[in-house]
Amino acid sequence: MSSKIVRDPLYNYIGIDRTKDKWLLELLDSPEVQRLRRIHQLGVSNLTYPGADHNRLAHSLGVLHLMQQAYQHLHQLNGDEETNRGRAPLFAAALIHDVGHGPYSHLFEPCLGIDHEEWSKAIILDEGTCVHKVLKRVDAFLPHTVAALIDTNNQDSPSWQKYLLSSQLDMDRLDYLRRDSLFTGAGYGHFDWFRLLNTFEIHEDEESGRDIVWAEKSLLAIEEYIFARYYMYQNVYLHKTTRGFEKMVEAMWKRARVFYDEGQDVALVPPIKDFWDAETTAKKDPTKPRPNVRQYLAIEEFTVLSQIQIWTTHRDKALSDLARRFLERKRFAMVESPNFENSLAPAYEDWESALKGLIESKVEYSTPEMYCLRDKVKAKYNQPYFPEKESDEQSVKNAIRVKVDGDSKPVEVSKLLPRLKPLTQEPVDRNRYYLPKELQAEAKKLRQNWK
Amino acid sequence: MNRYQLAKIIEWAGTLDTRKRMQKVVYLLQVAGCPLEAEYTLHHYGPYSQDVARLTDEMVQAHLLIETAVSNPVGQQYSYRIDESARQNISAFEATPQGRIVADQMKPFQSKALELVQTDLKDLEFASTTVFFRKQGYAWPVAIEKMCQFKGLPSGSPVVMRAEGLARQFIA
Repeated sequence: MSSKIVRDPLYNYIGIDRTKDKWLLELLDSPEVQRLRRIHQLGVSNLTYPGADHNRLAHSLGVLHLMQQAYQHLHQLNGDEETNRGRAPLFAAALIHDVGHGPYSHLFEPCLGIDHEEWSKAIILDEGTCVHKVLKRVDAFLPHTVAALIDTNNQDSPSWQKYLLSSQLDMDRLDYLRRDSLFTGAGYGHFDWFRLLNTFEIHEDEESGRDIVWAEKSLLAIEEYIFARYYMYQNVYLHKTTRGFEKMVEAMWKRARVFYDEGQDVALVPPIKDFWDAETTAKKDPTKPRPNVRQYLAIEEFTVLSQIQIWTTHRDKALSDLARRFLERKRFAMVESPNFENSLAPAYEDWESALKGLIESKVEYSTPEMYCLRDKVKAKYNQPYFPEKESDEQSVKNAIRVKVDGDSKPVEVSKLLPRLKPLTQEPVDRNRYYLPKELQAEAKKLRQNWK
Repeated sequence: MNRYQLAKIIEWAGTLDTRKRMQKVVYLLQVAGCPLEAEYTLHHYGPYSQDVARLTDEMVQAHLLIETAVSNPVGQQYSYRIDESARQNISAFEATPQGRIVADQMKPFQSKALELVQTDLKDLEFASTTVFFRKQGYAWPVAIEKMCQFKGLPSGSPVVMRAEGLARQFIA
């Protein structure tokens, strides 16, 4: 038995069996998966952390590697027919779960109005893609099985498979936290991943079937993992500089889309024009096809960079200004919203109007909506682990559960780890505003005097 | 979904028992057209929104909701109500121009909410799961069949028929 070996900075060697898993190598070589090489794993985080240039393909291979190890452990625990049936879907889903990501990963979802999971499913189910053809050669139903496995709203797949692929402690998170930590150099995101991979157990439940739970000896590794996730969110994923540039890109795209919808010329590069044209036609006439997989996959990071470059000379002052600021890394400054913590109806709109008034007072910012960018950081991003409180809602998606010796019913982990309390009880939305640097001091003053 | 909207539903209910019921009530009201805009996914007990779960905790922490926990054979069960000061907050907000608009949007759903609060919890779970599949585009018989498979229920049983009847009140 020989394996194809890929060198990886996290795991050293990632191996794929050339005989047994030849199809996985074909999947890896498909154009749709190779495209992931050209998608930044962390969007525009490299504007904050210059090392953060790693891509979605390396992450996908990492998830595959962890899934192989998790599967091996699972097989040792129970190598029955159900486990065997899960092998191919799990490995395939691990490698292609992100195949539908657009340029700069999550960043372009609001810009293009897309959901990467929807596109992942579309690519897997489209008979014209290589990914589909490879999966179909393995098993005629495999494309549908894999699409169902990555679909959040599809509960047809066994819950243990869903857990390993997408849950609060899945192979995806185990890889990206450590990989993003390594490439940003942020120094957070370390935890005992090897212990987590080798200490989970199978729990058979009469009602919900087979689930993944953790042994009591995993407790500290779970705690460490949750804290690592918290630090990574605070220091990397929600970094104010990164988020500011993300909002800038979103604002540009939103403005261009308004011009496009009004029939004005926005000098669109062909792949984007093609995509928006198809979308608009389908919206006007539902019998017409929506943008297809080929049109979607044609939008690459170099496409959008080229588009932004073109906008630097656009006649709309705000659009060209933001395009230049983005390419030259001239960031906006951030101001937090006033504290509305105990208010029944937080007055964000009033605060935003006041900020826009301040911006509008400067003649060069006559388009305040382009210079007052709101970043609503949903509570879930401030909370590294969310345990549902009521026991019967603590299903696969809602909880990390631990099997305590002598108790056959798994226990939700925060009940066993009181130190998690400060992290699991901070569910508040944060609203940050980005505006030109020279207005920051005045905006801060406005905030101080806010009643 | 915002704080006012959740507080209003709980004000209508008086006391809202169990987080699971809260999830399903909000989901069905939303499907009926109430502009709550919570993101729902399908979980083991039917449609579930982390937005709603988090908002509830956030409001308890901000003393805008009162939470009571009672132990039962499967663990803890939570109930929610509002106190007099929260009631006054609601009235004060509804007296503002913005508050009037939001209150007017909510008002048509009051009787529906009261009905749902009184409905058997299992019926709510099965009906909302059926609605979820229907919203995914499945025809009625398929949506019902999928719900039966998902929840392990025999097709055509009284509980399934009740769920279908309830679901049809919310989606065509």
